Amino acid sequence: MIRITDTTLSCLENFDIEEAKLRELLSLLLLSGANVIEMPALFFERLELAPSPRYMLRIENPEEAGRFKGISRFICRKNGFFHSLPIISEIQVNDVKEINFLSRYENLRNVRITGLDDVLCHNYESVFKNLRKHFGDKVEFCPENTFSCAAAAALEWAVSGGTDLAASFGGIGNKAPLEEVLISLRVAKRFKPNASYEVFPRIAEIMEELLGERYPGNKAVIGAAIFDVESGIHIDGILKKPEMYEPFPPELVGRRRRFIIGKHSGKKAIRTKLLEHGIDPNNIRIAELLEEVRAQSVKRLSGIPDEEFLKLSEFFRRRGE
Amino acid sequence: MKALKYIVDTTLRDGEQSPGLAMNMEQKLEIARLLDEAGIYQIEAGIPAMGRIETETISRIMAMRKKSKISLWNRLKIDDIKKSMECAPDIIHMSVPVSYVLIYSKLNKNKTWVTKNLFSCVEYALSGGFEVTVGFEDASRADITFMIALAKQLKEMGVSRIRFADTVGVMTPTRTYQAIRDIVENTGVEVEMHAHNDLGMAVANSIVAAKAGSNYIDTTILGIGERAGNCDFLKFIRAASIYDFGVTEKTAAAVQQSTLGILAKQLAAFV
Repeated sequence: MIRITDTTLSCLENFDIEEAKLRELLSLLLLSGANVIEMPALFFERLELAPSPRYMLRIENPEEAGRFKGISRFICRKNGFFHSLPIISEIQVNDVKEINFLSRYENLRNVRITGLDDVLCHNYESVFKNLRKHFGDKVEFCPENTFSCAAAAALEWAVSGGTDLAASFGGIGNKAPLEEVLISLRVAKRFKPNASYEVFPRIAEIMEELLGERYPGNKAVIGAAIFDVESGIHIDGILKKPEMYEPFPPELVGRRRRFIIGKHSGKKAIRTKLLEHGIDPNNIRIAELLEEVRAQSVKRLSGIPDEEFLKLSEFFRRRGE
Repeated sequence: MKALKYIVDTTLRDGEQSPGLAMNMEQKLEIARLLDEAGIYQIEAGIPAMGRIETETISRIMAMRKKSKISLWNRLKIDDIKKSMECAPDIIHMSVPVSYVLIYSKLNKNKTWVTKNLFSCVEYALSGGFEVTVGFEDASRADITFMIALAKQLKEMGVSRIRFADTVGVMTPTRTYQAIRDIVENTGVEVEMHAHNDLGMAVANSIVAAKAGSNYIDTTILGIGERAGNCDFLKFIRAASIYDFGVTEKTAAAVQQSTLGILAKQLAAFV
């Protein structure tokens, strides 16, 4: 069993969020494939939520836990040694060199290890084994992303037998991006929780609004352009069998494939695009049109919008037909 | 001392293949100059089969570069390779589909056909006196024993390096380590890792490939490339400090910054 904690809401603690937005975000995260949603205790109170085993509250001091009846999991950075079991102690370990210092927490159970940004550069399998030896099998790992390896670290944690891990949507707060963790677990471990990944684009939209910036179009799993195809060789393959050049179907993550016409288009792509718009490619001088498309694309420094492409194709219509 | 390894930059080839992105000649020349000055070992400069503008760009890059090796990308077609040879590059690279899904469904051929065709293309380029490297396209979904057998024969023929292309970006670190290790240990051939970022693991997979014995790592500036892109040059250099790739993080950051200026219009969507 793999248990994933989503920490997105905790990373948004200091953001000014309308109540309705917050509620929508929570409901989407509950569908996203994360098993547990971590949030600041403040959010829980503000939304007047009913207790659920799927909520984990972030508290400042262990004593606060007593105020929330019915909640069975809390997380706290102040890891006093005397609190009762449902409070997870969060321990920051910046890099693998610090692993040796963990022996002073030896008797602690219910621990989240946050950090280990560089673990992929080292013998990660032995580091992971070590962590489980120190803290028991239930230790939760929350890798951080300073070296762009957090999703990989989270995945390898699960592959090596770790059961609990934490991530955040889009990787907010320098964490492993939740969506990358979920999809890579699906590809590598056939992990298929009862979830609908089609909610990713809507979550991304809300996050973009809150953060005031857009995710890059090519951001893994959630980028709006990751299923765009242009090069002739890839379009040719995808038309025969999509899995040739797609790591997973676009529909899985709520997206659609788009054929872009541009500098790298081939004849197949041109014919396909014409057919898409109800034009018989046999009536068009394809080779000449392709040459013009390439020249125009370089001039524009981008692909050719459909409307422009259709106008262009009219110039290359065969005569006398 | 840190082990020496090498960057193969493919911004001008796989990077430009980002859908909706096109560069003009001046931009390509400027980027090539940046990479050359930064001390990048190898620049994959383009695909001569694309046509006249591409070959002219390549010739001008050849004329101006000082240190970087220039390589050109090819399909397994003698005509394409001829065009590459006319550009007189340092390295001729050719890509061979190695997964069954590509060989049987896309090419509609079989392993024997692919092997025969590959060998004759390799011989042709070698006979022209060129250094030849071969890319295993879709290696992540291919049969490892087939790749090992091919790599052994290619090495005997005089091919200097094999590129392990995770074409659809589905590799994970431990799987990457095992595959690269298997090829290196069984053939002794030099391996170049070409990672895509579909699962967000391009940087991690490239580091792990280096640990497994791959001495060449493919990157693009800002990680541009098909779909979720390739291994991001700056992010990789920052993360792979256990090795010496001949580039400091500061230099890599400067290259990225200058590229943002050169491709300001195109890269609006990437930053």
